[in-house]
Amino acid sequence: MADQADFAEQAMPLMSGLYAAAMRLTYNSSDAEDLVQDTYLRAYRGFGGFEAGTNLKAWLYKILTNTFINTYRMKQRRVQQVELDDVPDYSLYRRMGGLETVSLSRTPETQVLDGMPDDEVKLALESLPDQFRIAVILCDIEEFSYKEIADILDIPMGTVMSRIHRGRKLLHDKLWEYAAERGLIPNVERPAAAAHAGGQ
Amino acid sequence: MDCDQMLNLINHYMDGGLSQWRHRAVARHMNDCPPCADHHNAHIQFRQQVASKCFEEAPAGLRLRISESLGVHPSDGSPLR
Repeated sequence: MADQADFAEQAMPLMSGLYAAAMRLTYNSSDAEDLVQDTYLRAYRGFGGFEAGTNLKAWLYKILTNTFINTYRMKQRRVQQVELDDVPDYSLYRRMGGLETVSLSRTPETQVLDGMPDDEVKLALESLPDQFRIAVILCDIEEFSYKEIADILDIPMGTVMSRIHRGRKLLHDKLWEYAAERGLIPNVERPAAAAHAGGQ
Repeated sequence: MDCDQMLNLINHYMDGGLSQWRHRAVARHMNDCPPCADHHNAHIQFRQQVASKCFEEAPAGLRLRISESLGVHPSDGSPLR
């Protein structure tokens, strides 16, 4: 049993991360602020039942995602139900003509992302369907393990993995699409179609 | 392990989701295969870039409202009194 007096000291430093996640989920700062505030108040009220010494950060993200799914998402739009197959995410490399053409050290992919404004990257992440977006945020931004994410979202590990991998692939593709539209892609042989379609 | 097998496991490897022996097999393959090692590095860099580009600072007003409702200092969460 945890002491409520300890809650704020442990939870307040986690606010920027929670706010960033809330922004990507709700798409706007006023809903994001409400979601984060709700999360803190719910967590504070429930802190007595939180087992001291366990993972407070994971617990806060569980409250945040549940609150989002149960309240905010309903308000925004219909629940998206997509469960796609796990797809290995080497799409960019394949499109660039395979591993052989990837230059050493600085890959085109990293260079392309470097040149992209933060807001575009945020928009790309926000374009992912909820379940993939949440998985990518928890894994790649908040650095939770598969196991922690399975606990946060109450889903099996296999589902966690497929959502993360699929989500990353969707994000790659979205960013690549944006970069191509803006002419940000350096001189790279374009893509798989040519290389893998079985001739010209 | 060949490059295709390696590519199929790279997400799991990066996330620490492989069994010990598979993890070692992937590490061994990368040791002998610079393109795969580069590929792995690119994945890691990509992830870090996305994370840093999506950073947000919690607004001061939000911090203040939450600390007021919890009865603590907004700076460090220590009790008011």
